Amino acid sequence: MFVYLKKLFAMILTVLLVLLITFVTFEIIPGNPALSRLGVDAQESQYEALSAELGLDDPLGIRLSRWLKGLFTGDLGISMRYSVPVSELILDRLPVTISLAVMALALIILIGIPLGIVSAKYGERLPGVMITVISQIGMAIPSFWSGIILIYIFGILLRWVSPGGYVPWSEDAYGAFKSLILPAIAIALPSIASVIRYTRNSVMDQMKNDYVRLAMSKGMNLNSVLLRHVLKNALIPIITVLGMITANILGGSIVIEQVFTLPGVGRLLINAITTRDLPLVQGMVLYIAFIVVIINFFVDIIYTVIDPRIRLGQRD
Amino acid sequence: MRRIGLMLMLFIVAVTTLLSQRIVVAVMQDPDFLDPHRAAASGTYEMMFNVFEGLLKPDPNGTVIPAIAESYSISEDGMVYTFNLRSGVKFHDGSEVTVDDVLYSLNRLKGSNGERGLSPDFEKFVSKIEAADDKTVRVKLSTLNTDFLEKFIVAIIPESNENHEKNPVGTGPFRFVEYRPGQRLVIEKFEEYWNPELPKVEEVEFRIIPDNQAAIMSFLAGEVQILPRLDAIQAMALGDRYNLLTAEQNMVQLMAMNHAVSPFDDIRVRRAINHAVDKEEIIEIVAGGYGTKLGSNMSPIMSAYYREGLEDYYEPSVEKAKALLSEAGYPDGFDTKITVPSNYQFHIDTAQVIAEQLKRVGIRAEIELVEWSVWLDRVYTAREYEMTIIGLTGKLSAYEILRRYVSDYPRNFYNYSDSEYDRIISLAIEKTAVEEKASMFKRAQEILTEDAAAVYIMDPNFIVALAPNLHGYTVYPLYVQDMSTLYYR
Repeated sequence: MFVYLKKLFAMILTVLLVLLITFVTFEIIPGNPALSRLGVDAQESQYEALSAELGLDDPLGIRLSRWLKGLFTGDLGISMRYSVPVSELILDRLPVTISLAVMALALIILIGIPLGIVSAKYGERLPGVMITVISQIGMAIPSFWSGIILIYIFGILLRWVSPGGYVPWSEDAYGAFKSLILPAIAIALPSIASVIRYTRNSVMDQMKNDYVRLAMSKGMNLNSVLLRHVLKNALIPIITVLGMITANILGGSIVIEQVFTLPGVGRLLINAITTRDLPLVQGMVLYIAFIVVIINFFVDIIYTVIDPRIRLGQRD
Repeated sequence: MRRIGLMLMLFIVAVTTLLSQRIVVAVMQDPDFLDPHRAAASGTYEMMFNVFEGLLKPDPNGTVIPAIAESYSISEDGMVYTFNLRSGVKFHDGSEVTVDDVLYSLNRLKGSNGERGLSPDFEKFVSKIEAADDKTVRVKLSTLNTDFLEKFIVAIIPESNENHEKNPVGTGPFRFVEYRPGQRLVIEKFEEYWNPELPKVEEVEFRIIPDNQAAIMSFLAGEVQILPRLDAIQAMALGDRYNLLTAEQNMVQLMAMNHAVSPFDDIRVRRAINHAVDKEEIIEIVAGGYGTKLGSNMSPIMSAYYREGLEDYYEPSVEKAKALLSEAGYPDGFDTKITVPSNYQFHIDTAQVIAEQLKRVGIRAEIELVEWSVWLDRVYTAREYEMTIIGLTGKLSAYEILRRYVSDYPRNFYNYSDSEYDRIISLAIEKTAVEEKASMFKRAQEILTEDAAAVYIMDPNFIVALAPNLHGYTVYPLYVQDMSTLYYR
């Protein structure tokens, strides 16, 4: 337990530091939220009124303390660009990002792990080499490009799905699935490739162990040795990678959301940065930090389930 | 059998689009404010034009026509505007527009009881707003401004509405349904619009797609029905399966030279650059020929005020440019920087062509791409730049277009200063005779050209792509998308 408290404390300190750095960065870089919002057609007095309303004219110290006060009272503040609460904006985008993450993760696990095992089983023989080559290509293709290709084939040529037409699950579940499946594939592809590699390496490492030789000499066939004994031990590093991938997708697949015009958190973050919407950026930083903490926690729990020898909090 | 199935499918698709009567328009950016009196960005007006109306409204010819007012008159001396309200005009909440709503709206702009007004122009030029009777409103000016009529296109909104930002209510052909930041703004047909023939479709969604490529993909997939503001290259890529409309859009694309920075403080250098830039080549390469050459800060679409013949004032000539440069003390040219906002591919392409053209006369221009926020801050506001390329959207009022060059105008990012120019602009809006006013605005354009205040490049044509079965698109010399006249066939 103590280990956990220590971890939590370190995490809070890190997040605070990140938030502070963001604050200072936004002080330094050129750009001004009032200007970004009003554009070139506003007159001086409109700009002045908005600056005053957003509190941009206050001295640095006052703004910093106001922001810190909000932070400690759990108030993420009001977006400068949209004039709505930051928490509302982020919550509004979550369903899209979570759906994408779940779908992509399902694809990654269902395709990546089996292929990795098959690839390890065949080693340097043809099927193994083929899988390795394909996964190399998968890793090399940037996801925005595979996204565009997918849109072109399934959206424009075949018209099976409609790019840029996100439908919420509550309105039409089939429509939602249709609008999310391509981006989920595009996100999953490179990750599938890396999961294949991790699985392959991890399984092959385990194969060198004595318990494998023992099981084989007992007369078990290779397939059941792989599935019953090897896989369980090989899973630990794979879970670590999956955790990292999940955190990445939940933090917002900026490029894919842009290509598919999906209203997820990634696009929100880009919007927030380009319009110098500091409260929104801070809110997003907190959100991403939160995601990372939660996922690390779950990964730890999964470790203990897979291998009871590992006790909670023992890692590191 | 398969063919029949396919045809049936196509039929179903056609029928469902016909029945849905819904249009999705791709737009680049979020609105700044939904409250029409606080909104300043062109991108907001483009959408909310369909929701709000003023006493007057713009018409496709670039003039104003009566809207909530049925008729209007201007006193001989130009100081008093009288509007007679149309009867039976309703707000989207069902209440009728009363003279009090008009007074409330105009006073909100002007400011009253010590509160600041929301419109700097109403604050500056209007002295008194009063109701003559329950159908007549009189607006008295404090300072003569004969270009003020166009200001009355500003929205009339109900006094009873408590939150104009969250719940915008107007009198336009469409009523506001919802706005989701970074996603969409939806409007629907207003059944009680005072013109019973409009609008023709049931619902319009403005979908916010900042990425051009993604917008084109959505259009090709049939997800979006209108793509406004394509450039020529993108339009060509779409092919001829779609309705493409082109028109001048009353925009001035220009390359500004910072007059406060050496060597651009020297008129000979500015003239040399004007001679070095070949506008026709830019129009050909960057706009695929879809652009109208300009010579000063006015598009020909402003026909009443446009000074013809300035576009060839500086003919493209390497010799003349070099001679002027030598005269100014730069026989071997100089190094400079063109700062361009990175979100406008059109301006980036223009910068690349210009950089090549400048190279021919020995000027080595480096292109610096900056984020839009940075451009607004550093170039537009702080004026820390050497040269920059930008397009300024048109206004109905020549005064509003030209006052950007007045010495003390806060957004005169050119750092242009000419006392004769300042005098002419302030005199022009005191002229009640239209011809006299027009001739002064024309003189102002000449001054800008003679002074080589900037390099005026072109009015890039507006190319809009429409779904094949969508008709009735109206082109305005303003940054608006009029959805009321569109229909499916």
